[in-house]
Amino acid sequence: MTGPSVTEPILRVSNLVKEFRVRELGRAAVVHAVSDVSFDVMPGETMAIVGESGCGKSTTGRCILRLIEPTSGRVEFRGQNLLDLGVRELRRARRHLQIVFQDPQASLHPRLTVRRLLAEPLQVHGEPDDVVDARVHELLGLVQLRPEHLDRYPHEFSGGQRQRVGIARALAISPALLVLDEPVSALDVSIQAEIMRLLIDLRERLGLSYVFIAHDLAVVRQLADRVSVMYLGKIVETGPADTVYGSPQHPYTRALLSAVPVPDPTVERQRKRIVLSGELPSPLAPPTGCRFRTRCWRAEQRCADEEPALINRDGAAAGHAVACHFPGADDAAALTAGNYRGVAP
Amino acid sequence: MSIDAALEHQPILDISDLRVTFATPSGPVPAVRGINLQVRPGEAVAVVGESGSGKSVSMLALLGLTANAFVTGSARYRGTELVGLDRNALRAIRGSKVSMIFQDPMTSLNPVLTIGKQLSLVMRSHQPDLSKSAATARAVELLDQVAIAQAARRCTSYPHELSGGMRQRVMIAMAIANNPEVLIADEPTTALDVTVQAQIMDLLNDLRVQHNLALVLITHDLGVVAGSTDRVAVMYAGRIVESGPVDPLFSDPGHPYTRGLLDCLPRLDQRHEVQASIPGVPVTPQSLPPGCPFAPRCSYVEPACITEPEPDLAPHGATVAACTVTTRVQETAS
Repeated sequence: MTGPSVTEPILRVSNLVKEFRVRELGRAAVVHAVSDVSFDVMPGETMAIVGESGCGKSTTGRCILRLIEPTSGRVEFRGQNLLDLGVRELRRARRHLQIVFQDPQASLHPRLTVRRLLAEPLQVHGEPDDVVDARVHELLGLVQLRPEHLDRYPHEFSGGQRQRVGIARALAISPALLVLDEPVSALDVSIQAEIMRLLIDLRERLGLSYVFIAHDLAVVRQLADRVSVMYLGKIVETGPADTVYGSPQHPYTRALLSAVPVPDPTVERQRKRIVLSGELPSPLAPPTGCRFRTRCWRAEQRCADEEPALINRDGAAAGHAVACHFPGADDAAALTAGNYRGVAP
Repeated sequence: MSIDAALEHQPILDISDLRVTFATPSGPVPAVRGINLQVRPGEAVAVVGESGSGKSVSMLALLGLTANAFVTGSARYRGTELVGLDRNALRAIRGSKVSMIFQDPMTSLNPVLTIGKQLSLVMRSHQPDLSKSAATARAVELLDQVAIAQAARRCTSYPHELSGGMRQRVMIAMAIANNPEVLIADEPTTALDVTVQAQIMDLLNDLRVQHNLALVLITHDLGVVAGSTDRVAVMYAGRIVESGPVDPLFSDPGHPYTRGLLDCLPRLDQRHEVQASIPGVPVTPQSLPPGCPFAPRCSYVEPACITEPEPDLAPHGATVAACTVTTRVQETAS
């Protein structure tokens, strides 16, 4: 690739906010699901958004495609703000952005055959019948399914095969960017790896960009170029995958990574972990200042008074930004605070 | 060896040749096809497998919690045969001496009763002499023990008012309310976030050590198994295909399926560009292939694997594995 496309992001999300108005005990209240989230995705790049339930990662993914209407912010795809578009223009723009959902059982129409499931997006975008037919066969090959699968219904497939159909459907109209919302978390372990390999393979062959949303950090590690960690509606740390995994700076990232078990008894018994205390605060009333401070062992008065900005600090690797007043790799405080849990060998 | 120490080494739960067959309109479905498992006091044993392997069904069956199932074989708790035990006698043991934690706390808790009420019910149904006030006091104590803050106040909460992690803690409190000796935990952390998972596994291990519990952990996640269990049994298509102490099972697995499962686990401490996987899909009990059920997905497969009956467990290093190919290879090597 040459020219400006290399340096221009394919997707730029800036100051994305999504608030849901709800009634809580009869009173109007606001769920702060996504609060001021910004990130770029370069062409051919995979940006992973990781976090635990309720952190706003799926809402962010859906806001990108306007499946959920954002409250404010900008979502620029190849320089065009999708939030400015009317219904028709948006539909045209969605040719280039598609989404794969977590549970193919729930997201594929149970009474349509694979042939019709794959043809539908092409017909919606006005492709003539002969093109549709050829493309359906091509898609099948792309996700390694066989022609005899065409006339089967979703329930006749295994979980892994169903997710292949889900991916093929998203790829039907040759998008440039896929939002993958937990694409393997509903699958058995022995099947997950195959789907991950397929996704990596498709990315190389078709030059796709991915926004990969997941709660499983070990899965993400296989294909992410960059990672953004979300907590309670905010990105707390973002950077190149190797940097974020190799030397996490935000206390939440450190706790999250240390909680992932290692499938090796010797390593696991000697490994020290940070076990977070307390519960996730309600997104109806997020804490003032830093949203993680109520569970943080480094928290001081300043964390309650002043919200830390997501910035690249002195000495940090390029593109590595942390939203913390006291970033670093020193967890000694966690030890003294009783958060550290070493399992004796 | 004193009598106590001798008892300590007796399995408290002894399962042998347990079989579970479901009657379905399309014929009998053999979900569990003869498993053997012994669990001793204070020991943590993991039963690992993918969906449909029979790991949950086998444990539900020995507690009489499977409908339309034909259960044969034996499962003894302290010498008492549980298979075929009459309903009342089984009920006296279940939830009291042998208790279970279910995967999804939202669907296992009663949504219209407070936490405190549910805990008292569990205790008073097994301890009729316990007064209401004593049960309430004990409920608070239990919530405290599973590290729920403001335990007294939480007793008056309903399940929907609690987070997923807290609900799972309530399930654990309920399971230990009658001081069980055997605790069966069915995917206790699968529905939970990773940071909460770590908290719950720590809690289970603390309880095991404090009360000398025999813990059976049913899971599909070998990562969770590595740090928290002593022995592992790997199930595939209704049978145990490998079992042994956790260390050799991870470092030198004897069955190609165990090996495959370990290889396809993504690891945080190592970056693989392309992860290994096991080709094909897990077999279902409705459609068992001839010979070894893993043969269609196995990279070590030989003609005999399909023509001969499926192999029994045989020693492979420090574990036992049901594979003629790998055990033979090891014999010739040594």
